Amino acid sequence: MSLDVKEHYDKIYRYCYLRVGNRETAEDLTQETFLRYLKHPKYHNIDKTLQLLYTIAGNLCKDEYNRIKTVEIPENTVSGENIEESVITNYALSEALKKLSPEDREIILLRYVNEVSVNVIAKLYSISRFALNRRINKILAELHKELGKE
Amino acid sequence: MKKSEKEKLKKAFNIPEPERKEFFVSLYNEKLKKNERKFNMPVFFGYASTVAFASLIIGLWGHFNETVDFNNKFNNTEITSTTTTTTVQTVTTAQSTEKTSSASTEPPTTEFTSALSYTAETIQPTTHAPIEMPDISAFIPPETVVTVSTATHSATTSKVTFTTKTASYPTTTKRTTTTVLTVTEPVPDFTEPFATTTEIPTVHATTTYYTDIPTMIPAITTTSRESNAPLDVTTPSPSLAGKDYTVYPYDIYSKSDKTVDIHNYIESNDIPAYDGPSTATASNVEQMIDNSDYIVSGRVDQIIYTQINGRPYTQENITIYAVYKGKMLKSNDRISIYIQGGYIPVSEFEKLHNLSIDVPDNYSVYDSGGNKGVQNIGDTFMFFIKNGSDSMPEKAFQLTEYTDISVFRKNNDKYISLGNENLYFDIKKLLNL
Repeated sequence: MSLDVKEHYDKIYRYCYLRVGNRETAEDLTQETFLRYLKHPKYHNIDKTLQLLYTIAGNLCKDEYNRIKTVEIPENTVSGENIEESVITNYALSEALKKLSPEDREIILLRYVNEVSVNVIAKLYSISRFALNRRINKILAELHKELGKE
Repeated sequence: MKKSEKEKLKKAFNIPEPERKEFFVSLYNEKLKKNERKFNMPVFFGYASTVAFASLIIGLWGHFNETVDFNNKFNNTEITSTTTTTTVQTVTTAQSTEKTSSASTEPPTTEFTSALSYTAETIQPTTHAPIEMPDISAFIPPETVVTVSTATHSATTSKVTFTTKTASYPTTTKRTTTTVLTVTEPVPDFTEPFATTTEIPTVHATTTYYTDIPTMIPAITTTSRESNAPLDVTTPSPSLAGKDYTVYPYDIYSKSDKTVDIHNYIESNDIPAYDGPSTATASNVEQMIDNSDYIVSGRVDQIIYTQINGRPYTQENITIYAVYKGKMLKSNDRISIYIQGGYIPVSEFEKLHNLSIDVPDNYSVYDSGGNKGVQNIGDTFMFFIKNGSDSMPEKAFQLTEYTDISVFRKNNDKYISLGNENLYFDIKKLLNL
């Protein structure tokens, strides 16, 4: 099936950024992901298509991460309305997210920000759906716990 | 997770927006079009060659079909066999001395015995000339394969054993059977009381239905409804079966005969940190109708004890009879409904909640979940349900008000809530939704 690159560009970019921590590099890797995807046979199933995309992106990020030694401090993007509350919430949640392991952060990004299905994520991490669900629940519980302390 | 929460999470990751997206998207789409053009030419030639080859095959088939009559050759299915026994006369000759007497007037007699003797069982090949075969062509049907075996021996008459076979091919008789399926479905307004006396719809064809992970959940089969013993699941034939939306639970627990009620235990042992069940928010049926994504009537096929976030839950797999609200579900679809409350083995409960319960390990922890009624396999109810939470398996449903307040049994003309007898309605309320 044909992939809507406009829809998935942001998602792959976010995934790459989380891995490499640099905007320019993340965009380069995102574009490389889609160019490599063009060379593969196309799947009719969207889950398999997404799994392929994320696998390519993950492999590129691994190669790149081995070369990058420093991580750029990300910029804050805060919406205009209700700045104070969103700053506080954003900061608290941001801090809570930092306390998670890199893999846990990735899982949360894929599941709730990129809205990738559990099936695809489970295959990316080579675990069962049920184990993944348990892990997600555990991560959310940790986040709640951290936010409760603030 | 709600959309607003996802947005907050997205912002909390502090990921800057990409700068080169639009530029890359336009380049990518151009490249995609070029690739598709390059891809189409070989595809076109591929199809063309396939069509040409198929035409050749059809032409050859037509040609051979006209010149060679396949049908008549193999109509004769008779097998004739003629067996004859080979008999050999036993000829014995013996040489005896001639006896003569000068004084006797009787003529002399001589008995001769051949030195060679033959029996039917011991025909030995000899150098004598072969026996001439009788002419059997007069009575063998044409196109017959004849197999002849001969034995050669001297001075005897022998009959030959032969078998005639005609080439035969098995013929098949096309048999068609028609299965008449009779499905008795209850009328949507349920003219008969159910829950204790409902007749389960019967069909003539029976299939056993498994979910896509067909290992641990037993196929519950029995038609008896006296107990909670496994039932025969008579599901409609594939032509009548709906979609299967049932899910595989995260964990499956068996229920022990010995149970400890967790709320009673916590109260009497002063153990904190086990929250009470979620409670209903609707105070009347109209609110419940508004809060529900679906309202369905259905039969309970399976009851599975599991957990969600460490709390005992019960998964009920039901077959839908009728849908009163909601678009996706149809009659004969199968769904899973999560109801809070159920049974968990004590050891599992202790692990999940990091506490110790002073009862033997073969006990089950029971949490009523705020439910008051009883639902058995084979019972039919009206369910008010909504989509399951993120903690539940995908495509699972849950009761709108979490407890069996959302489950109604028919009693004469009314439907009464299992969890609150003061909540009831007439079916007409649902027919206009």
